[in-house]
Amino acid sequence: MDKKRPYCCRIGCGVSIKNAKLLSEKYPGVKIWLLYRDMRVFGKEEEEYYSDVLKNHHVTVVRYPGEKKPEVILDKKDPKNGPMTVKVYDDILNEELTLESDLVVLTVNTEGEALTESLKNMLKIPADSGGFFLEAHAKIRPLDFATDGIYLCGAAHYPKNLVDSIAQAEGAASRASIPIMQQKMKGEGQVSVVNQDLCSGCKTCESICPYSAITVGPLKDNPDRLVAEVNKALCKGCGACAGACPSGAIEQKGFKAKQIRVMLDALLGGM
Amino acid sequence: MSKKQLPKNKKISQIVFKKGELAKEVEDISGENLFGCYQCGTCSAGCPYVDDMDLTPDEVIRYIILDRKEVLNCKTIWLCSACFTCAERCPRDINITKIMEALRQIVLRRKIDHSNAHKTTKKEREKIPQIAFVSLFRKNIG
Repeated sequence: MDKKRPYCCRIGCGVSIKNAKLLSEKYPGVKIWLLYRDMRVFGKEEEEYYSDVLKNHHVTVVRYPGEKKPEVILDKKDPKNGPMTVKVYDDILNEELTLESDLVVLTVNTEGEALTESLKNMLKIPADSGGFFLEAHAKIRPLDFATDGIYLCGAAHYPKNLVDSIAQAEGAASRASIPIMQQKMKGEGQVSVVNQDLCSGCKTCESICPYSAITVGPLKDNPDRLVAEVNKALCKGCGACAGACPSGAIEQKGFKAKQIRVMLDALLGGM
Repeated sequence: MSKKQLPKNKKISQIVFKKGELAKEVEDISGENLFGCYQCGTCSAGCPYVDDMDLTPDEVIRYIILDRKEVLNCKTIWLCSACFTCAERCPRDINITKIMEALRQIVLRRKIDHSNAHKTTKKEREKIPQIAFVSLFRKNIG
């Protein structure tokens, strides 16, 4: 966790404890130092696992303050294969420790998938700076996106262990099975409608639609002309396209320009 | 901050430990696993003598874990009155009192004694409670 990655990777602490345990089991009697800024073993019974490893394998833990990161100093004679020295500031004794080491293992922070950016643009779904996708609502809709038919689970959401990933995947699968089992889908009533005579095919609405409900394509009768078309199943009736259309070709059912004008007149007429 | 200055004692400084032997000996005598300590400082917070100690009880544990035999020079282990407050409060169930006793034993079993009853003056003898002398003699049997 740092300024560049302001999130907990959730599995790093567990991974370093596991590494300590494996090393100690393979080479009994080896001295293991665990350097950390914060230790948070994430998950059920991991705290017990942590203290168990510390006790049974005599792992020495050193907590360093955030602004004083440990330094690795390579051997002068043989920088590639020689022994390394680690300098770390112990926050408890308030002094710098110098540790001779044969092996230094770095546990790196987990980052989102590199393809997140392109997938995000393709599906029109939101992602955060760490490269993880953002659900529609953390509590009410934790497995969905604003875009229909796309669901979320596992490490694409945020770094998770296997148990959590499986649990979330089961949830996402059952969410996805709802429209499949129903076989029919009820559309929204207040969808937007394109007046194809007025549409100039500028594609403003296509780029602005948050639900990817609008496609701009050639007209059937006249293939040279591009016109927008609304997919009524995907449209959520947000009205973004109706407001954005420079030609005034898109109207939203129930919120036509005429209707809104009457409402405004009634509101302002009394003044 | 630099290392804490601890009183020096020639005889204690002569005690030799191999790497990791100090923690092992403490664990052998006390039967406690020091490495479970997560340095919360509860033992130091509850200790009635902590104001007079040069190392706080949690620092003593840290010193043993870090294999520093200077810990045997500190006043703390002799100031500990074995009230068991630290052992009672430790969230990791480490009996710190036993660790203090183990450190005292490491020194005493090498026939190094901090105090000598004969050297106390008459005035001091009148002032010091009898129980203190009893403890002192018992310490020598250790």
